Amino acid sequence: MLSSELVILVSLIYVGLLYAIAWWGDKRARDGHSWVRNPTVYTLSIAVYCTSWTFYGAVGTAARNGLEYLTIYLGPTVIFLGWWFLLRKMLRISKAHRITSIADFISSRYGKSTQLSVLVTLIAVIGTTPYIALQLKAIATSYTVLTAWDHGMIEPVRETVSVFSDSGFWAAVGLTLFGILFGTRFIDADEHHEGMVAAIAFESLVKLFALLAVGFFVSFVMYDGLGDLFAQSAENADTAKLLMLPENGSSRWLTLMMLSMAAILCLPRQFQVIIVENVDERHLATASWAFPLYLLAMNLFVLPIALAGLGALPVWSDPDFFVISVPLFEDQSLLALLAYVGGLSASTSMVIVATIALSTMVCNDLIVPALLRIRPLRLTERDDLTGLLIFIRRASIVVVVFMGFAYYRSAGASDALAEIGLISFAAIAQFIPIMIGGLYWKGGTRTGAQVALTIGFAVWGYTLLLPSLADSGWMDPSLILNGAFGHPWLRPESLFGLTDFAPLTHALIWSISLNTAAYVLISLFTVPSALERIQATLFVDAFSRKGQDTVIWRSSASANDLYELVERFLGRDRAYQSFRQFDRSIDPSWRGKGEADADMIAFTERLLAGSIGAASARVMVSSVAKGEMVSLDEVLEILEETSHVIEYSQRLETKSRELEKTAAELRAANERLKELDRLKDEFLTMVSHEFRTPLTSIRSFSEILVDSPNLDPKQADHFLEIIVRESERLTRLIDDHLDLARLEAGHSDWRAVEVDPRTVLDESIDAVKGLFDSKGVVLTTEYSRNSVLLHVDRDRLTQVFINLLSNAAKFSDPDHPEVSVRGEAMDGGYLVSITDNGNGVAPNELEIIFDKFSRGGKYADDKPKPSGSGLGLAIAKHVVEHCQGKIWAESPAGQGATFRVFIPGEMMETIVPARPDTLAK
Amino acid sequence: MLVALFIWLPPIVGMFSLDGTILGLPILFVYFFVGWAILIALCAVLTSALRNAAQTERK
Repeated sequence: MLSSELVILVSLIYVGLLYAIAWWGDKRARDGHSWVRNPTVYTLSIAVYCTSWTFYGAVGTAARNGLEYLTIYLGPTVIFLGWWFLLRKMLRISKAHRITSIADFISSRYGKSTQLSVLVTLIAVIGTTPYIALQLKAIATSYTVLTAWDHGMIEPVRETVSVFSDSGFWAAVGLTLFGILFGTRFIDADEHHEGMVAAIAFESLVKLFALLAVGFFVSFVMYDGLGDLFAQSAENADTAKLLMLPENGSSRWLTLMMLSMAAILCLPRQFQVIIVENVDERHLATASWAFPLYLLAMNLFVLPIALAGLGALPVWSDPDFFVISVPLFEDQSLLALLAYVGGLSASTSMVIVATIALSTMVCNDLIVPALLRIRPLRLTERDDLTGLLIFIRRASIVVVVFMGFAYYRSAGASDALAEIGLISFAAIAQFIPIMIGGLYWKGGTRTGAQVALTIGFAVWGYTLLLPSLADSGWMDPSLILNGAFGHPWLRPESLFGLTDFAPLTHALIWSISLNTAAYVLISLFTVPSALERIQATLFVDAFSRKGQDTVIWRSSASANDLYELVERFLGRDRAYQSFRQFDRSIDPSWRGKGEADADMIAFTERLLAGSIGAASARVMVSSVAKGEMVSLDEVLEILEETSHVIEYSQRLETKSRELEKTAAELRAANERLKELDRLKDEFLTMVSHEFRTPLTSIRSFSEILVDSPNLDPKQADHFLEIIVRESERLTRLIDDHLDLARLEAGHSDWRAVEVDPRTVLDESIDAVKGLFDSKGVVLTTEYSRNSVLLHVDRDRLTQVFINLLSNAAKFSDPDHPEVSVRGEAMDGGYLVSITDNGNGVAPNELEIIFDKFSRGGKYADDKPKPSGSGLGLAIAKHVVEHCQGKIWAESPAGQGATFRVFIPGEMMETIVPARPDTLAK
Repeated sequence: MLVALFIWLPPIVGMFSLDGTILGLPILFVYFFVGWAILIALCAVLTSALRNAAQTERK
C-alpha cells in the first residue's frame, strides 16, 4: 500500500513534467527548430489510440474473453497497413482544404453544410462522453487500488464518496486545466499543437515502458518465462479456455474488428493526431508500419498479465486493474507506482487530445456558426475575435470533460472499461458510411448524409445508450425489458425481434445497416447542389486534380478588409506572417492597398477555414466581400439563364424565319392576285373591245339603212350582208366565250371515243378547205404509216385542228401562202405539227399566245390584225390539256411558225394506209 | 491490408484455435503475434519501395 500523499505527489510531478515538455515543444516550434516534426514523434502521437482502455481494460478483457482484446488493435493495424488506399487520401484532401476536424471534413465533403457539421459535432461530443468517463474512472479506480491495497483485504474497496473527495473529480479538473493550457493558448492558422504532440508522444513512451515493465516482471520474475506461464494456465480449465477463441464468438469478433477499424478513422482525437497534426505526408508512410509495431508491443504482455492475475489474485479482484494489483500483490510498490503512472499517461493523453479536438469542433462547427447567425451580436463587425474564440474553446473543454465526469458518476461506474469504450466506438462508427461513401462515391448527397447520420445515431442511442443508462438505475428498466409502448418488437436490445445477437452486435447491425441504406437510397433520390457536386468531385478525385479554389469570387473586397478580417481571427503577427507567405512583396507597413484579386480572397477563406472551419469562413469572408460572393450556385444559375435566353432567341429566329417564309408566300399570292386582277381587267377591256367592233359596224350600217330610205337596193343588200356577217361573228364570239368559260369551269360535256387522229385531221382539213381555197393556200399533208388510237372527244379535237389550220391559213405569207400538216405516230402518243410560212411568232410571245385575247400580233408591216375571236388558241390549249396532251408553238426566225399538238394514246395494231393527199388550190 | 483482413477474420481465425504449443506457447497466441510481425515487416518493405519509386519519379 502506498500513501495517498505519495501518489498525489507523483501524479502532480508527472503532470508538471508533461507541462514542461509541452511548453518546451511549443517554444522549439516557435523558434523554428521543431523536433516534433519527425515520423517517430508522429507515430507515437498516433499511439494516443492506446488509452487506459488499453492499459487497464485490455487486461480485463483478456481475463474475461481471452484473445478477443486483440480485435481492438488488429482493426487499426489493418487500416494502417492499407494506408495507401484510405488514410493517404484523407490526408491529401484535408491538407488541400485545411480541414481542422472530422466535422469539418464531413461537412466540406457535402457542400460545406453547416447543419451537417453541427450534427457530426453533436454526435462526436455525445459519443465521446462515455470514453472520457472511462478515462476518469480508470484514474480514480487505479488511485483507489494503489492507495487502499492491503494483503489482509478480503473484498474489493467499495467507497461511495462525495463529488469533491472523488479522485475522478480532481482528475477531471487537472485534465481540463492541461487541455486549456496547451490546446488553446492561441489560435493558429494551421491548427498544429506542437507542444501537445510532444507531450502525447512522451506519454506514449511512458505507457509502453510501464506496461512492458509489468509484463517482464510477470513473465520472468513471477514465472519462469512465457512458456511456464502458459503451461501453468493451461492446467486450469478456466484459464485454458482463454487461450482459445470463445465459442460462437464469430459475430462479436467481426463486430469488434469493424468497430476498431471505424474508430481509428473517425474518432475525433485520432483524426486530430493522424490528419490535422500531420506536417508531412511521408510521416504517414513510416507510421504505416511503426504504429502497428507499437500496438504489437503494447499487446504482447496483456494476456500473460491477465493469466498471472487470474492465477495469483483473489477471485473478487477487478481484472481491469491487474496491471497495478499484480505488482502490489507481489510487494513491488515501485513497479505498481510505475504502472499507475503509465495508466495516468494513457488517460491524460486521451483526454487532452479528445478535448482539444472536440473543443475545436464545438467552437468551429457549433458555436461560431450559431453566433454568426445571431445578427444583433454584430460579430462580423467586431475588431478582435481571437479572445472570443479562445474563450469558446476553453469553455467547451470544460463542458466536454465534465460531461464525461457526469457520465462516470452516474452510469459508467458499474461497467467494465472495455464495454464503456465500445459504446463510444459504436457511436463514432456511424460516420463510416458517409465518410467512405464521401471519399469514393460522387453520388452521395448532403440530404442523404444528414438523414443517414440522424437515423444511425438515433438507433445507437436507443439500442446502446438507453440500456447503459437503465443499467445504472437512471431510468425505468421496464422500457428495456418490454420495449417502448410495451411492444416486444421495440425492445432496445432485440429490435424488431432480432434476438440472436449480443447487444453490441445487435445495435451495430441495425444502426449501420439502416444508416447505410438511408445514405444510399436518399442520395440516389436527391439532387445535389452545385457546390456539393464540386466538393464531391474534389474529394473523390483528390489525386487526379489540383486546385482548391472551389468558389469564384467577384473581386470587390478591398485587400485591407481581408487583412483586417484575418487579423481579427489570427492576431496581428500571424496574419502578417500568413499574408507574407502569400505574397513576398508585403512589408510591415503594407496595409492592403487596392482591390483584392480572386486568389487573395480564396486564400483568405482557406486561412480562416483553418481556424474557424470551412462553413464559418465562408460566412465571414462573404461579410467582408460585401455579400458579393458569387457561389457556384449563382454562376450555374447565370449560365442556366443565359442558356435559356439563347434557347429563346433561337426559337425566335426560327419563328421569324417561318414568318418571313409565310410573308413571302403571301406576297407571292398577292402578286398573283394582282396579276389575275390585272388580267381580269384586261380581259374585260378586250371582251368589250371585241364585242364593240362587230356591234359598231352592225349599228352604223343599220343606221345608214334607216337614215337613207332611198339607198340603192344593191348597196342596201351589201350592207345587210355585212350586218348579217358581223352578227354571225358576234354570235361566234359569244359562243367561243361561253365555250371557253365552260372549259375553264370544267362544265363542258366530254364524249370520249376512240379515234384515229388521221381521220380527225382529214375531217378538219375538209372543213377548212373553203377557207384555204379562198386564200389560195398550198397545203401539204404528210402522215406516218402507222398510227395510234386516241381516246378523246372527237368534236373537240376537230375544233382544235380547225382552229390551228385556220390560224395557219390566216398567218401564212399573204403572197405565197403555204401550210403543211404532219402527223406522226410516236411512242405513247400522236404528234401533229401544223406549219405556215408567215412571219412566225416572236420568241417572247410563244407562250402568251395561248392566253385569251392575246393574238400574236407584232407584224412588221403593221397591218390590221386578222379577224378572230382571240380565244381559239386558249380553247385549243384547254382541250389538249384535258386530253393529257400538250400544245406548244415553235418559231425559228424567218421560217414561219409551227404549232405542235401531242396527245397520248395507244399504238394501233392495224396499219391504216394514209390518204395520199395533197390539197391544192 | 486485404491479407490482414483475411487471416484475422472468422472463419480463418477459428482454424488456429487449436490445442497444443509451439516452443511452449499456445498456437493461437503465436499465430496472431507472428502473423502481425510478418505483416508489419512486409508493410515496411513495401513502404520504402513506394518511397523510392516516388523519389525516382520526382528526379
